Formats: sequence, structure tokens, C-alpha cells
Amino acid sequence: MTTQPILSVEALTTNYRADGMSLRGIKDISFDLKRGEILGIVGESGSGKSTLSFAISRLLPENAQIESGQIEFSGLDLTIASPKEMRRLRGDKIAMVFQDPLSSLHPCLTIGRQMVDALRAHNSGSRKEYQNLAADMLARVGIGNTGQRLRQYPHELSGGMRQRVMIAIALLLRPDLLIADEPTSALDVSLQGQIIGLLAGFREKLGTSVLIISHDLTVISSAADFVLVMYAGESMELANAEEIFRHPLHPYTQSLISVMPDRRLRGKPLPTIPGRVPSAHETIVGCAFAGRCPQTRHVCSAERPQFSAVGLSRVRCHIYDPQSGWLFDTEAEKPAAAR
Amino acid sequence: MSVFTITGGKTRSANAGTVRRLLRNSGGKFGLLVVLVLVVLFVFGPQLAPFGSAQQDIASRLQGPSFKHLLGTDHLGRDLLSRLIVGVRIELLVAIPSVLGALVLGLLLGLPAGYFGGAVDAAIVVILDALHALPTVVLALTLLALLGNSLGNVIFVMAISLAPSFARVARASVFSVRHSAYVEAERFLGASNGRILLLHILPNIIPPLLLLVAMSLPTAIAVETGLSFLGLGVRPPTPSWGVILADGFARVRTAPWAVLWTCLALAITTLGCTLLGETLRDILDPKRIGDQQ
Amino acid sequence: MSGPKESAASLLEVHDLSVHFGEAQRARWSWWHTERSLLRAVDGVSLSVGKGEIVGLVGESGSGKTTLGRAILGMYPIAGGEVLFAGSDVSRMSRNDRRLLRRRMQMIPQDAAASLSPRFSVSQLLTEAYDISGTAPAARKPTSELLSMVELGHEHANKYPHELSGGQARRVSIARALAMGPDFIVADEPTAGLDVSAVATIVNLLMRLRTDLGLSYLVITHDLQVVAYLADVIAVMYLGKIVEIGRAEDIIDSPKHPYTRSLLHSISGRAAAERAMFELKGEVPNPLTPPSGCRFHPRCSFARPLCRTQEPLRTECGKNHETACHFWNKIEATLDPANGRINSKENTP
Repeated sequence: MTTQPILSVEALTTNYRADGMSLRGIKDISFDLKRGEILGIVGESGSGKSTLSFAISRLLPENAQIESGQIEFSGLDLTIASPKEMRRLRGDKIAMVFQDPLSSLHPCLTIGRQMVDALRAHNSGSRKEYQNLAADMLARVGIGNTGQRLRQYPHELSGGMRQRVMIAIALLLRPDLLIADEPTSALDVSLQGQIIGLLAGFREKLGTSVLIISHDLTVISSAADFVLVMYAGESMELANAEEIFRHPLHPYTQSLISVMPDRRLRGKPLPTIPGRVPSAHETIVGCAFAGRCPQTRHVCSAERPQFSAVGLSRVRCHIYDPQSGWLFDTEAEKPAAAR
Repeated sequence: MSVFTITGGKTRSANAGTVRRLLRNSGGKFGLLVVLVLVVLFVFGPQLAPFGSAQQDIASRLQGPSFKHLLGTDHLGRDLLSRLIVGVRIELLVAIPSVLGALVLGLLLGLPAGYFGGAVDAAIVVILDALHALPTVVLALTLLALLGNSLGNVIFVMAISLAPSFARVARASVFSVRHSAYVEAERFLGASNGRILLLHILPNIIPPLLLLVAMSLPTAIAVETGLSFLGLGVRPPTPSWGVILADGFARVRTAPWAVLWTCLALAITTLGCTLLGETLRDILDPKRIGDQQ
Repeated sequence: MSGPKESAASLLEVHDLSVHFGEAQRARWSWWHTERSLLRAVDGVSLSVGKGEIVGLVGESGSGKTTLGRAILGMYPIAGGEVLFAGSDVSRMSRNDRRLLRRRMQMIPQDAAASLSPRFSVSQLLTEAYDISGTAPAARKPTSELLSMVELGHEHANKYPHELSGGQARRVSIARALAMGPDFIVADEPTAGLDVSAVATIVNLLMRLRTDLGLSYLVITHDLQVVAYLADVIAVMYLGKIVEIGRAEDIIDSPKHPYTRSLLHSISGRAAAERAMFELKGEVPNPLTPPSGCRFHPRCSFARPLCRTQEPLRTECGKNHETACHFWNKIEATLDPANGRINSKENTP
């Protein structure tokens, strides 16, 4: 694995227009993704995780736009790439897999035809060659009897099979980056494991970098090398996948993990996160999580925390601020909520 | 029918937001303008017309547009503008009851067909296909010949010939929601079929029907014009657009104005109604409200 | 063959219940030649729900868990067996009696947002059950009371379904179920599709309502974490049959059936070698043509020839714990008891 990142997002900020106002999309998101790495992006609905993936693939809806920041993908700044350049990149170098494969597959074309078409759009070769490539890729995603499958239509396949086909199509052109938006949310538990295992396997075999977006921390942590936790359009924590589960740093990450139903708490109420996610209409002055945070202090609602490095992780929280943080404070000063 | 006492159908449609959203759309704006003009002419037509619709002036017959007669005159020297304006009332008096009758007939056939399916559906579809197989004008001609020519019969005949399209749209719309989660939830609560159909299905299939009402109004006007033109609808000298057209057609080579203006009026009416209907359909769909914000 | 918790306190008893769908028509060879085939969605299922008890029904899609829940509520005709609610047979009830019973058995439907009639306001949705049943005004719970029971403010009364968040819609459908004052609720995927924080609040709400109102639940879910926290009894379904049933602790701590073991493995991040042994291969077979013998045998890494030919019966494998596997005790013996124990303790912080 090289150290040069294949995707480098720097201070990416988007907004969108609605009701004649400019509303907050994602704000100041930065991360690097190296070749063959898997980055998981976790967040609740409204956290901006899908906006981020659309911004990277430049598929933002018409009323949304990139306000500032850079997206560097193998030396090319995607924020200023022309639509034509982007079309060439998508499918060839950047591939996408969505939650609902049925709506992303053409219902009237056979699986084989769709795979061959995808290959033909970016290559020149014979139909026979493509058929073989397609069959080979189907076998790689664990679909047997490929000759027959290629002649089938999407509705003839089961949900898990369709998601495999989507992944096969996405990987056909050996992309450098695969963006998977909730790839397992519509699938059964047993299939989730299979699909995640598949994505992880291709990273090893083809060196594909993967961006997995999910609301499910468990799915993410089993697949990803690193996890980016998003909240209200901001990045809260970026850490190693194992580390984030074992030692979550940001109070929001801690809350997210603590609210997962745990059988050891049987008979006792589960912890919850009070309050609600700030809406896009509200202007956030300090930390986006300040209003719901159990450890909030006055500085939290007054000043926006930096995305500062703590060990190998990065956290956007005043607790860990090198200057003003109270990480190593004595007992004397208690958090505001405790008083 | 005490089962249906609760205030079920109250929707977001009746608020000021609808009009605001309507005006934001240029097609909707034009449609609304056309329909408002039609309504004003319907109510005040005879008062607004510069001349009486039957006021003859043989000296200035078959004239082109002038300051006195803005759209010209017909073969008896009657002011074409006045006749067209007064004609609006006749047209709408026929078209609106026809379309509403067709809507009611269509719902009576389409709702049970879509909801119950099976044998009920098969029987109703046969009726609809039979009605649909006959061209509207042929059907209308036959029925009018049988029933005799009166305004009431014209309305009845047009309602019958327009009803199949309403029934079809209603049936297809019911099909798409009859197995939806909320209909199943209502059925579980023990709601009767009538209650489910009237309170839960009907309000949700209104948008496509509304569009069809708007699109059928000009159709009804055109059919009425056609019937009058053939001498089966409204009789002269009542200035329906069909009568004006028929009068004008006889002299179209020497004085094309009557035909031109009538066709233009028909075209504008059709366009306005369709645009308004389409905009209303989009606005009244509760799921699309979010998209527009 | 009956549920392990058969006692006088049982509120609901299901004996050998079968639900078949005959409508499925499949084209073979050509489009004019169709074959009627029977879908045995639920095939000889027995279980019981005690008063104040929460029974969790888990399984993958196609296992028939939703069909079982709906058949219990009388929404599908029953092909065989019986459903006893408070001692009376639901399947052989007159229409009127069943309508009266609806007051005591309610449902929280699967997709809460889609199951609220889109042109009804929340308050209309909440009074609907009363309007339908003709409940006297005095016997009706006020809308604000129903809303506060599910921890929603009164300001939501005038909202329409599309204005509600996923969690709020879920609460409204719970309030709808509570309106008639039921004893027993079938909750179909009550937490599916919700954000993590909303899951916790809905689960807490269900628990609180059980304590406050003495409710019993049948919770149908694919979320094993939720069921492990919430349920007293867990029943695991596979292709229309219950393959394992027992107290939640027993199922989670010492599962016996290979399918249960695999399901629990999918939620716990275990060592790769061990995961490989239990990883579920392939997908649930087509329920129209279930495998012969034990229905799980094509996906089971412990399958023997016997499994292909003979269907295993539910046998006692512990106190109040039954499983339908020929070799459950051999499988347990081959695995080191310490390794065989599968639980989620190690992986969560």
C-alpha cells in the first residue's frame, strides 16, 4: 500500500437553496483515503453522510452546490472538473453502489446486457470478450451458474443476488474508488455479513478503495479500517474502526454506542440521547452537539471546536482541545450538566 | 350512513399556500388566468358583451375586425365577440355538468372495479371496453337520435361517453393503493369497505382525477361544439360555439373570421384547463409538497 | 408439540398453526402453461405468550414471521391448527366475536409511516378506531392522553403523516394500537429503519408500556440486538417453522440449533476461523420449494445424510428450551463448551 492518498477531501462545505434561503449542507469535512483502504462514514439521518457521497461523485441535486473546499482524486480536483470529465470518471475510476439495487438496475435489460453495456461505455473490445469478463466478475461476487444468470432480468433475482450484481457491475471496470451508500440496509443479517465480506475481499484482491456509508455502526466497524462519524453535517470523530468501538472519544460517538440495545441492560431502560438534531435552518455557533451533550460546558455553545488530533484519531470536541480542553482537568471543575 | 360521520377528507388543499404555489408556476398562472376569465364570462358574459348576441346589423355583415366590431361580424351582422362571450355560458352550462356526471359515473364503476378486483372487475371492464369501442361522436349521435334532442339529453350523452376514461383512471389508481400499508392497517382496524373506499382511497386518488376533469372540460366543449355543428346539440340562434362555427363554416372562404376566432377560443380554453389541471395535480399530492420546498 | 411456556397464565396459545397461500402461480416451460403451487408460509408452528410476556420472533425475510403474526391476529385464513386467545379459539370465531376481540389484540404495522392514511391528521388517525367501533364518547381516550402515552406533545395532533419523522410515525402507530386498550400487541419490526438513537427510545417506550399497562407483545424483528434486550422468550423461525424456542438468556447464551448459532454470529465480531464455520452461506431457499428433510440442511455445515431425508421434530434440549435439530447435542459436544458459547459480551464495549 502506498502512502499517497487516492482521495483527499479538504474542508469540503456544501449548501443548498430552499424556500429562498441558503441552508447548511455539510461543513468543513476533511479526510484522506489511501489505496486499498476502507473508510466507513456513520451518521444518523440528516447527518449529511449521503450529501458527502453525492458531493464526491458530483451528483448533488440541482439545488445544492459545493461552496468551498477541495476533493482531490488521483491528482484531479473534482470540485472544478467539467461534467464531461466527471461522466468519464464515474463508472470508470469511481463506481457507486446504492441501497436499493432494484431501482439502480434497468428492469427491461438482462444482467448480461447491462454488464456488457457498462464495459462498452468505457472500453473497446468484442462482445464475446465482455461476456467472459462479465461472467468472470459474477463468479467473483459469489454468483454461481453465471451463464444462466447473465440471461436473467433483475426481477428474477433475489435481493441479495441483485446487490451482488450491482457490486459486480460497479467493479467491472476496476474502479479505484467504490462508494457504497447503505449497501446492506435492505438485506437480511446473514446477507449483510456476506456483502461486507465481499467488499473487504475486493480491496485485497483489486486494491480498490472503498467508502461505505451507513447508519449502522456495527456494519461499519466490521468492514472499515477507519470510521468517520458525522453529525449535523460536521465531522465529529475520525478514528480506527476497532479503536472507535473500544475507546470512543467524542461524546456523540459515545452516546451512539451506548444507545445500542445491550442485553446486559435487560430490565433497565436504555440510555437515550435527549433533544434532537439541529435542523438545517438553525445556525450553529459552537459545537453542533452542544445542546444534547452530557458533558457540555459554556465554551461548547460559544465557540466551534477544532478537528484536532488526539493520538491517532481526530476529534471535534473542546474536551480534547490542546489549549482549552479539560481532558486532564482535576475534579475541581465539573461539567455544566452535572451541576 | 353514520359510519362516515367523521371529517375525513379535509386536506391541505384549501389553504392559501396552494394558491401561492400555483402562482409560482408559470403554466399554472396562465391556466388560472384562462379559467378565471372563463368564470367571469360565465357569470357576467351578457353584461360584458358590447352588443346583444342576437342583435343584427345586416348593413355591416361579414366584416373583418374593426374598432366597432373587434372580431368582426357574421352573416347576419351580429358581433362575433359578443356571440363568443355569451357562448361561454352555454358551453360551460353543458360541459361542467357533463364532466361532473362523467366523474360520478366513472367513480361508481372504477372504485369497485379497482377495489374488489376479480369478477366485479372483469364485469365492469367489459362494460367499459364496450363503451370505449364506440367513437364518442358516433355514440353521442346514436343516443341523441334515440332519446331526442334536448339540452338535458346532450349532457347525459356526453357524461356517458366521457365516463369510461374516468372509470379507467379511478380503477388504475385504486389498484395502486388497495394493497398499500395504510389500507391494510385500516382493514385491520375493522373499517368497512365503504369507509376505506370513501375516506382512505378516494382522497388519495383525487389528483389524477382532477387532472382528468380539467382535461375533459375542453373535450366536452369540443364535443358539444361538434354536436351543435352537426345540428344535434344546441339549436340556433342560441350562440353556442358550435353554432357560431357552423354558421361561419358555410362562408369560410369569403369570411374566415368566425371559424378562426372560435377555434382560437377552443385552443386557449384547452391549453388553460390542461395547464391548470397539471399544476394542481402536482400541488395537491401530499408527497410532492416536500419536494417543492 | 407445544410451546415450552405452557401454563395457566398463557394469554395466547398457538397450536400447530399452518397458513398456506395457494395463489402463487408459476410459469413453467411456457407462459400459457401455469402450475398452481402451494406456499406453506407457516407450517405447524406452536408457541405461547404469557400475560405480560414479550416473545421475540426472529428470522430472515421469507421465514414466515410476519405471516405468523398476521395469522394470529386473524388477518389470514388458517389452513390448520388453532390460535387460542384467553382461552377462546380465534380461528373459529364468528365475525362479531372477532371484532370484539380486536379490542384486545392490536398490531403495530411494519412500515409505520406508510401505514398511516396520508390525508388524515394525527388526531383523526387516533380517533379512527373509536369511530369504526362506534365507541361512546365517554369511553374514548382523549387524543392528548394517547399522544402523551407515547411521549408525543399535543402539537403533533394536527400534523399529517408526511410531516412526521420516522420515530414520530412509529409512536403514532403505537398510540393507534393503544386506543382500544389492548392486552396483546403484535409489533412487526418496530425498530426497522430508525436511527440508532430513535431505536433506543422506541424500545424504552415499548418496555414502559408493558410495565404501565401490563401488555404482552409478540415482537417480530430481524434485529437480534433488540430482541436480546427486549424479549423474555425468543422463537427462531426458518422457512415457516420454528427451529428453536426458549428463554432469551438460553437462546443467546447457549443456542442449540446451527441456524440460531449462525444468526447470533452475524451480530458478534468473532474470530475469522470461527466465523467461517457458522457463516450462513447462500440465501434462504424459495419457500415454494422448500428443501426436503430439515429445511436448513443445504446451508448447514453440520448436515448429515439423515438431515436430507428426515425432518427433525422439536425436542427438549434444556429447561423450557426446544430445538428442531437431529444433532444438536452432538454439535454441542464437538465444540468446546467455552467456544460454543456465543454471546455478544466480548465485542461490545
